[in-house]
Amino acid sequence: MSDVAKTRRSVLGAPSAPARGAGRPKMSIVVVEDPAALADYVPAWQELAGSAIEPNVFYEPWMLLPAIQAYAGERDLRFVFVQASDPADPSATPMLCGVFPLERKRRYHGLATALPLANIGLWKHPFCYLCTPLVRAEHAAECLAAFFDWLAAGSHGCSLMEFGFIAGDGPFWQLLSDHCERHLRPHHVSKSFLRALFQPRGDAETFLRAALQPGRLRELRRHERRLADAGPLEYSTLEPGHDVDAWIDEYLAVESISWKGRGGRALAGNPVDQAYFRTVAREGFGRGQLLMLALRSKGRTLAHKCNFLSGTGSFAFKIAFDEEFARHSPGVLLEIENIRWLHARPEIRWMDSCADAAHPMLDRLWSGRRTIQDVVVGTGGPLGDWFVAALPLLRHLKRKLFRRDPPRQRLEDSSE
Amino acid sequence: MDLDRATASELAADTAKMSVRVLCDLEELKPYLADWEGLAAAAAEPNAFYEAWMLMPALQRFGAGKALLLVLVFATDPARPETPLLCGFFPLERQRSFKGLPIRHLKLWRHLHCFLTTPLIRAGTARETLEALFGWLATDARSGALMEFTLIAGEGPCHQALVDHLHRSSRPHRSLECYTRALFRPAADADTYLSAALSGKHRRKIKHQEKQLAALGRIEYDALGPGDDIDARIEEFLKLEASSWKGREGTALASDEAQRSYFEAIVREAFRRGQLRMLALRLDGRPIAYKCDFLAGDGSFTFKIAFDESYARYSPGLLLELHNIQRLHAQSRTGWVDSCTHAENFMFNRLWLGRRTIESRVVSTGKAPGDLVIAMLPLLAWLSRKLLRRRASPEGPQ
Repeated sequence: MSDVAKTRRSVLGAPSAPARGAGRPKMSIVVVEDPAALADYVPAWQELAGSAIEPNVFYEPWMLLPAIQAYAGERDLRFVFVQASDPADPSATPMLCGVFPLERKRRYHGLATALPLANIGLWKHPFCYLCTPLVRAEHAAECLAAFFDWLAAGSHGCSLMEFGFIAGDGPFWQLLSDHCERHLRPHHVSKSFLRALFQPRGDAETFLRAALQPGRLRELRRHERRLADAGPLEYSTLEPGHDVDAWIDEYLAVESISWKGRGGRALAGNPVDQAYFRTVAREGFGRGQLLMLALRSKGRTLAHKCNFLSGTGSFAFKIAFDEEFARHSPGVLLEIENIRWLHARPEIRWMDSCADAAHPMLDRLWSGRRTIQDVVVGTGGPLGDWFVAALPLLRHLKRKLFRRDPPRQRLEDSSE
Repeated sequence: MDLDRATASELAADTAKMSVRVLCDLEELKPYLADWEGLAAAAAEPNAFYEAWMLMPALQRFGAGKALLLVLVFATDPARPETPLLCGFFPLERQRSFKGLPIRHLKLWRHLHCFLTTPLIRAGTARETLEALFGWLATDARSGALMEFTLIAGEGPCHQALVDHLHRSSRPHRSLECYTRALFRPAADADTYLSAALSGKHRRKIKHQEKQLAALGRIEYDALGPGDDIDARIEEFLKLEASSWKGREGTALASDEAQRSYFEAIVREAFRRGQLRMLALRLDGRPIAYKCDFLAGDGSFTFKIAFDESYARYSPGLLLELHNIQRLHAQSRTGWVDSCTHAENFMFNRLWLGRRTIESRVVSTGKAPGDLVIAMLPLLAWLSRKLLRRRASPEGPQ
């Protein structure tokens, strides 16, 4: 290490008093198992969302509570709230510092065969594309330490904790890896991949010139003209005062005639999904956290896009286009409009594509990437720690064993 | 920068053919110095420690006797086969054992004064460059079972390219160590920054210390400028450092001829190139605190700091760092400063609000027993911790 490091023994004359503030806050944990009881926490939870080290719109109460209604079903969910109280003033209302929405599972699915190993993990419902927990920037380290203490106390009866689908390059991961390193907690990053991230560059034209080759830009302009031949093209954005329900209906209609609709994967094909989408879109609109864009011509919707905003970030939620016009790339044209819109709003510093790794369109258009990863840790007991340490070897052996019988394995793979 | 990136991505994505050249000797590297400089200027991520002007003097002084392989990855445009473009530079050291096991492997070379080993990779070509590197690792007789990325940035374009490569190739890999160290990124202005970093009480205390120091004589914060006498500064710095505990322990640069001459060579060269930042706090003209940073791209790296221990109660090192924060805010070009320090450094962790993740990651090259070793590593680490439990402190590193 640099010799700056070796100066730890108080040279440099830095006073050795504790960092800041008078007393350390006292952290406490509340576990809520009954979703109806969550309502009491909503104001503090919403306030926390705005003061978190990393924004995650999917874990804000207005997006998560409807998801519980729609998707909790028989799942064993529990919500861990980490609070800080001032030791000097114990009667004051404690400050909410962290929310961990968790699902308990009896079996561990990290290996091909589900093992009878109870585990707990950040809850990911079908429309949740990021599980980074909300942790208050102030007291972040203490909050995570309190969560780990709760894990170690073992009231959940699980030996493993899975931080699945968290950002792998932001402050939360820094916090988690520092915690694990400092406390010698065995942890295993079981999956890690990149997905497209939008970050503005100067202005929209600079961005587009860097993202698209000149030939591709010309081609897109040509597509735009061809589409306009049929009638004037109209790019529009949902604004305050607009009829949000009409926009929602419009999105659902476009999606149901797209490839998703044909594959039975459109929101409109499933009443639960449709109701969830309507609720969060309406709520997001009311809160000023919904962004919808549409490309229309002669009363027909060619492409439609729905994003959610949160603090300095934003999340691409859904996109659909009318396949009749597929050869004129209406979806890409609307993405370019989205890039222009985002450049006009410097307060939004990034948009997460929420897409899979290697998305064919967004990976080309957006040069930024964000790392998404699954991290599994032992909750503190010897079994979990041992298992986390042995997991890579178990996986390796499993692969080796299956390799002996390649034809069968291949068949199984392709049927999925 | 944007244009560079665009041309590079077109070049690599469409037609360029990647090739690998491996050099074992410093003399062989000399014809490529200009390519190397060009690569550093167009790198996806700056790393001063791996730029030619910092690494060549280190190779000459600290590389002797080491089994080094200098791996150069080139892209050749079929339209212009005579001018291959250097896209990646990986200085590797061959090792005979890994964690006490007799496993031959390669690692990014790290000498005593190298605090970051993120390789230089041309922006826009990271995917192809890493593919070429791993292709070479899998087949060349000189590589071993493992490739260790020793002390790389755990975020940013190079790390992302590595994550992406590992995801797509499903090559077994393991993080050996992952921690954060202090990083400076400017706030709106120095006052905003300092009030976020330090309590009012602490800031008052520091002001008071400065006043007490000023009562002893004339104090002056002094930054090295273009026309200044660089040799005199180098001499001052070495003398100050040698007078500290480092001198007593024999770890000061001046205690060792090779290290001293390395420092002189790189500081002079950085000065000539405009990549040096040297600040001093003087009392009646005499330096009582000194710092030396190297600039690269939009960032910079804290290389060495030193101060006069007889003034320790006035916190001269801290005063100089506060001055540095003010200066950095006054200059618009600094995007970030890497502290290059330890995870637990008290002063920088308090004073600098940002953190950068540093990681050591080992990847199987595909040769036996690489995959198995990677799979066993966590279990071996767990077992050795269990067996040596008494030695592991529950509070973590002190």
